[in-house]
Amino acid sequence: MIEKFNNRRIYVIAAVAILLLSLPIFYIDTPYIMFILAQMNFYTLFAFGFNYLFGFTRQLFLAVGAFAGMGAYITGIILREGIMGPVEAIILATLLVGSLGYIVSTISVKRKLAVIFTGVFTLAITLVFTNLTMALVDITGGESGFRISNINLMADWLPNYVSYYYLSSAVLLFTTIISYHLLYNTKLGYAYKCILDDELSAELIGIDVQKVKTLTALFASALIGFSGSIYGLFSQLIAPSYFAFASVDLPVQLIVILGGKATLLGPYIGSAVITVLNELLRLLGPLTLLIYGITLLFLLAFFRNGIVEFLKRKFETWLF
Amino acid sequence: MRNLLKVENLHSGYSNVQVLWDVSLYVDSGEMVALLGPNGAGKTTLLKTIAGLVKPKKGAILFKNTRIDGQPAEKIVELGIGLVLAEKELFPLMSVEENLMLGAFCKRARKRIEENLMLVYSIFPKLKERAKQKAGSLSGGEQQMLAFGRALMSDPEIILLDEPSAGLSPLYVKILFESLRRLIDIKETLGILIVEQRLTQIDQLCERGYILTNGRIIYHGEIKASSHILEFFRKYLGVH
Amino acid sequence: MDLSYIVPALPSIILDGIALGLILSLISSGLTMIYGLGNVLNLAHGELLVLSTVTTAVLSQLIGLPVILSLFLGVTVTLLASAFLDKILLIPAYRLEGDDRTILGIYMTLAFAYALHSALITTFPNAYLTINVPIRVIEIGWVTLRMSQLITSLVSLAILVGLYLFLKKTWHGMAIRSLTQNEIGAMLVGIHIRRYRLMVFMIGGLLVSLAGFIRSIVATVGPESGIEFTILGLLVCITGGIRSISGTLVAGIIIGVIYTFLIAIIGSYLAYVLILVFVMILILVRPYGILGERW
Repeated sequence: MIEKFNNRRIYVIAAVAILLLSLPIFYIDTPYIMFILAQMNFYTLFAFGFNYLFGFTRQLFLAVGAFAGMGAYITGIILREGIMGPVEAIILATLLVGSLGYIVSTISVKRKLAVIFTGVFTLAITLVFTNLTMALVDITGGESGFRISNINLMADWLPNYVSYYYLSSAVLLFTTIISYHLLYNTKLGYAYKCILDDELSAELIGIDVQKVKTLTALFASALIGFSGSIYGLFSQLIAPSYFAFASVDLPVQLIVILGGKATLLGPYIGSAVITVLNELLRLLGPLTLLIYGITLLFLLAFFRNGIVEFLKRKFETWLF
Repeated sequence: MRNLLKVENLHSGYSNVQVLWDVSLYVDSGEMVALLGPNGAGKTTLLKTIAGLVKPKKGAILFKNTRIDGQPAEKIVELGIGLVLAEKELFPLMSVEENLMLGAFCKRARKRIEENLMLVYSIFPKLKERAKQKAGSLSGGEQQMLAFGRALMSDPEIILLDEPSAGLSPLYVKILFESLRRLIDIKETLGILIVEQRLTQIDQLCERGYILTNGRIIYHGEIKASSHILEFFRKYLGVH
Repeated sequence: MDLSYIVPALPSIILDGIALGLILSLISSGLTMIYGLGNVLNLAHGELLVLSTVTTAVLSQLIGLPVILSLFLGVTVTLLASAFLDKILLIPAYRLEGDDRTILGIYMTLAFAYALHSALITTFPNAYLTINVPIRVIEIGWVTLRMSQLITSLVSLAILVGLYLFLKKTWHGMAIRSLTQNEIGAMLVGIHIRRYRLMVFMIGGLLVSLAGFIRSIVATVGPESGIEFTILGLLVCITGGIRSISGTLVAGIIIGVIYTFLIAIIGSYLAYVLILVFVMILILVRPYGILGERW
């Protein structure tokens, strides 16, 4: 029975991969849509990170935007000052953000902080980040940020957005495949299930909950920082508003809840839906937040486990 | 009054687990009745169901011949049933006196707050000594007394006691049962349903008792120490 | 760094700090009570404040109703919104317990806050509220007090004292305090949890409306300020101890004075950062707040 599940999941992942890789063929001439698709990929990556933090280990890190932003700013500033090349800069930024996530998680777990404290603590980090980037104008360019143009990490012969689209798709698929392996072929998947169910019992049967949580935080934060670094280079403008709570954290939370917490493909679904929703709502301007708010409320009230769970139960689908 | 509290064919439990099966019992005014049984038998669940903390699945609970099953806990306190849980459930940051005052929260009890406070202090002089102390800083035995006193402040006609001697040192057990004796002398019409695991002292205070095992009443009758039933009780349940 | 310019302004800064702090205490005490009682962190609290001020501004400026009536209706709207939060919005959260409830509560109130924020700034972008008091100056010794500082501080203080007495001496107040300490115990003495939860939400709404009006005496309050008030309120809450109402009363003044002082020295962005760091350290060192475990 489990074998069958595994095989079918692989087919779905393969289908998603093919879809992702072939989309540009249709849209390569419309840079706007390529931009949107690339951005969708980045948000899916952020959502993956948040999913690991909150979906799988219940660590309420309200600092996704801040972590992504730290990655972007560190990379951008290093490149602007000419200290290192892009690859080294990205690696450094990723390590720093990953470490920060690791430290925050370790503190929370060691001090046995209740969820609310971790949430407020990381929210404070977000606020510190936003305010520092606004205040340290000399380094960060303040509210308007600074530009980093034309760093093409992959193929020089592809237009910028397409290149970044493929880069982000590659990272995304790589992450998905590794996650698939971790979740379904190793004991880690079981560990997550146990921890989600009852942390105390998980401890009692010998799972080192602290290690699982903190290491997950390390890699998830690193993923977010890494994605943020590339996202910064992709947008070519690194400014506080791109990484603010309302710009990143709120949509990411919507994505994870919509797509389904603690599922493998939830982030994909959620991200696709939110991207489409975003485009449809572009006309409404600031009222977008109103719709986000109401949608989130509606979801939380009725589809608390996300669309994936809902579909699973309604159609007993073997998809996910 | 006969059948001050009457439980008829009660089935109760939690959302996915049924704990009590077809339980019936009664307590008259002025009577102290024992409810005995091993751990996990459902004694606490029974008390909680009567007090409105747990919703029954089937059956009836009557207080003064009116059905009260399914009523919320606040209403049941107002009607005159007091519950003292083994966890005490005190207000740790409030003083002993404030805890007692809160015991008289419901309208009916507020009218007699002064006399009941005097009653509680006369039965538990230790509480009067520590009136201004924070409840959280009391010892286990004192906390139990406070929980009992607080229930008395609600001016109940019947009190349900859940293992009042659990975890108490022998000295406090003695104090507790002496206080019980004084109480039933002063309040002659007060009905008491007392849950205990041990028989010592209970058999001197209660004439009648029930034995609950695996959610069912398997015995109802005298609780005298010399009775055959008690021998059976000792052997079967391994308690003394 | 030459700070000599600060010295003559010090008394004024401290008084401003106290005035701000008392307003923060008003905001946070509601937040603490709501969390202590229902285990829900109401992240829409600041929006409720803005809801009052916007309603009042719109009614008195746009529609021309008398000020007193507008104030009254402003409070009413927030009370209704508070009741809506407790009785309708949070139903899914109340089906859960403990941490699960807190998390869902955070999300739902956050979503509501963003929705309300968005609705307010698009519908009434110019609804700024300022309450004017006579501009007078009082000199006591070498200290110069502005009328606005004095009035806001005294009114806030009066309300806070009233709140304290209400909680300490009245039956309702004792019921509320008991519910924050032991829900089961409260049930055992006949206290109706849902009734008091609604009461606490509405008291919180009342306090936050009043805070908004008092604030508008010193500084104009606009429709976009909701989130800022929520965050400041949250920070004071944590400093005073998330479950401690009496702690919050004190913490407000402390944060208010420190924040105002820092703004004068290093500017508002960095002052904000330092306050945030201070609270973050506090979470690690004394999660129960500076006064420890108190009611």
